[in-house]
Amino acid sequence: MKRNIATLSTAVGTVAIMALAGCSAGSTPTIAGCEDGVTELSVLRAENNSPTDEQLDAYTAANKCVIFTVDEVPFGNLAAKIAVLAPSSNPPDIVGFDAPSTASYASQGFLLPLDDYLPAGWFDDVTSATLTENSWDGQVYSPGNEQDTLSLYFNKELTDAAGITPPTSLDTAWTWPEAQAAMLTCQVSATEAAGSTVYGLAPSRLGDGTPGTSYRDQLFLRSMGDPTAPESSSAYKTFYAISDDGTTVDGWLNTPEAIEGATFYQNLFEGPDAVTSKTGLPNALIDGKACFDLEVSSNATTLTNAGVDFGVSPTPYLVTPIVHTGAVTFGVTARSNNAEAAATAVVAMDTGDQYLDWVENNLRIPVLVSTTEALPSLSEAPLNIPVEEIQEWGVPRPPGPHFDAYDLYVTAALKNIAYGADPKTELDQAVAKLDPILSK
Amino acid sequence: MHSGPIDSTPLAVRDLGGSSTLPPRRRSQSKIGKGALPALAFLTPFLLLLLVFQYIPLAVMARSSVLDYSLFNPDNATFVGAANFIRIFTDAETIQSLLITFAFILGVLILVVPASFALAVFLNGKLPARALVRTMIFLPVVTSSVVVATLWTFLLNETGLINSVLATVGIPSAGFLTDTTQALPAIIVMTVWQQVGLATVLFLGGLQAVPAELSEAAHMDGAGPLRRTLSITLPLLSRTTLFIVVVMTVFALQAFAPAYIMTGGAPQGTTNLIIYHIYKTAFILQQPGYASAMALVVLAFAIIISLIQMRLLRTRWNY
Repeated sequence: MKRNIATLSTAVGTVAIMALAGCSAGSTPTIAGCEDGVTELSVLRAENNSPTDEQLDAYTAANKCVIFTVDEVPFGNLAAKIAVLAPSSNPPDIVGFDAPSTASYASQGFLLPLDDYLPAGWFDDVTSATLTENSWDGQVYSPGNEQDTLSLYFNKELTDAAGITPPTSLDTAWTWPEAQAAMLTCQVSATEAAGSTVYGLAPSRLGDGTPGTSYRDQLFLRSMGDPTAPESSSAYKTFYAISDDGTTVDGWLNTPEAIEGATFYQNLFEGPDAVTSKTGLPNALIDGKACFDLEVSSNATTLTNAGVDFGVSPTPYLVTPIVHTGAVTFGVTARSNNAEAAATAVVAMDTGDQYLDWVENNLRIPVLVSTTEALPSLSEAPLNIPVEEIQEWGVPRPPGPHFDAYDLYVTAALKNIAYGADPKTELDQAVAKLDPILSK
Repeated sequence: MHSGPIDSTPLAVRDLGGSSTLPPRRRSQSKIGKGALPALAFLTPFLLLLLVFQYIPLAVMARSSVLDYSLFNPDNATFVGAANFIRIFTDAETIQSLLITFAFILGVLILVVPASFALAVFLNGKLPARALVRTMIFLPVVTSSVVVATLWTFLLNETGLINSVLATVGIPSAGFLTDTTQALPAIIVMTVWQQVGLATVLFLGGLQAVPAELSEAAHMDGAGPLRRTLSITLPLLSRTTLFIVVVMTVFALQAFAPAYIMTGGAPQGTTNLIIYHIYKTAFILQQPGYASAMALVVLAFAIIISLIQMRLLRTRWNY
């Protein structure tokens, strides 16, 4: 009997210890000079993304009574992680997310509006693309941390060898047929010289590393439109790619102009003038396996560090010059137990001197015009091209509370088109799947 | 053979019966009671974990399947009855995903079962470096699915190793992961490569348990190797085969990494396996109710398929 009781006690004790170990929370440390206590803010972010340790440490250095605990996941899993944590009893105080998802999160009550915390003059200072992207229903849910867009990076060694001089200002930007011809010339020249396949345009590294990401490839469709055309025209609808009230894409995503753009896009992958691959090839530009690459601004740092002699050209266009804006940003969860402290921290990290220092140290494109003007490096190569693109051509991806669904189906349609499917059929199918969701 | 009524009294009790003061039944109960307490103590943590992480989520999923809500606002759920289940069989994308998944299962089974049997027969012989070959065959089984999928993506890419080898012999590049006719076969082959080791080890265990004298007797009667395999080995391995078929079916039904890592369900939905489709529906489209209904239907399919397989492959031999 004694042995049984001992066995039972051991088992129960083990379970109790495991339960206690699992449930016990770390106690908040005490810091000298923080008589009112230390505020510990939890942060969920994507790996290698904002708010970075550097930003959090800088805030703690200036506000020693506020500390951060960070949980991070790969960018590809961030949206799913947010979706799972959103209804939990203890959501993170500060959350990093992809800016185009702002409307989706805000409309479902996940994010806290930050209008009351923004400094005076902020609305006049922020770029319009950022304001549109980070707002929902007239309220701002993130001040925005950085802006980003695509530019056409080129390997100068390969383009020089092929006798190609890409444009380096927005007013001389290539159209896509001009760019495709240059890419083809470089592809033939470089392949002959290397004795193995060199692509005119590097396969996409964005998203899952295959073609179709709406951030990059929907530009081929929207560029066929015209924002200055009458609102009822097909050209106007093609440019905006979703109805003004966000409830339908029928007649906006599958216009004749969009189908023509998609057909051109397909020709980059198939046929005699193909200049890129349907499957991924990481570091193609660095490795001399591609002449050109459509990439985000951080690519400049990557290429510099890799010792590649490169140049930056504006993103080519079909009818209307256009680039998609948007980057990872961060905001405050509506059900945060430390909403006041979290909102104050987020705004401080995205404005003022701390923001200026971070942008300067990390060569990022700021969301504030005043910060852009304060940094001469942003008006010089290589960052001047993406900065000017954002200012003159930048538009958000079609915003709305169902952005994730929009992104999923448009990306799937474009991927299938790149793989050889009929553009009209694919765009019509995307519309058929999206409209019931958008109209809810 | 028993020729009279069977004495159901436990042997231990009968042996001690003469000197005991307790009735046999009472002593038996006491013995069970003595062992039950420690058993319960050790089983309880596991049963609790099973309850918390298996059965309660299953119950929550069943509840979700009749609701319409988003993960961000579960409190705003509305009861929709059987609407989510009806939608499964009217939604072209889901129907395609289910059919693709069944084709995937069929492809995996058709390749895994004969291949693993052949490998098991090979490994059952007295061959040099048998242990090394056995390890090589089993290694993919214990390798992470994500690692395997990433590895095969590099192999099957347009500029991957396989296409490079094909190019050296003048064969044009194949769209293993981008062509609608090749993508599903490609991920089937990858899955077979990963799972064949497990099936081989199971078949090997079965082969080693087959009584040698049966085969020897058949040999004496003049049966050749093929005849002995078809008439003796295979029938006697039917229990093992059934187990492999059921396990492989369930593995294939649960496959997620090939679609998530290698193809994203493309091209044109031809690799959109049902678990990946459920994931997208729940976490990207924010329709967890519909996703739960699909998960329940998949569970039902898994049970039905397993029952059918057990019925069709039931054994008529024991040894």
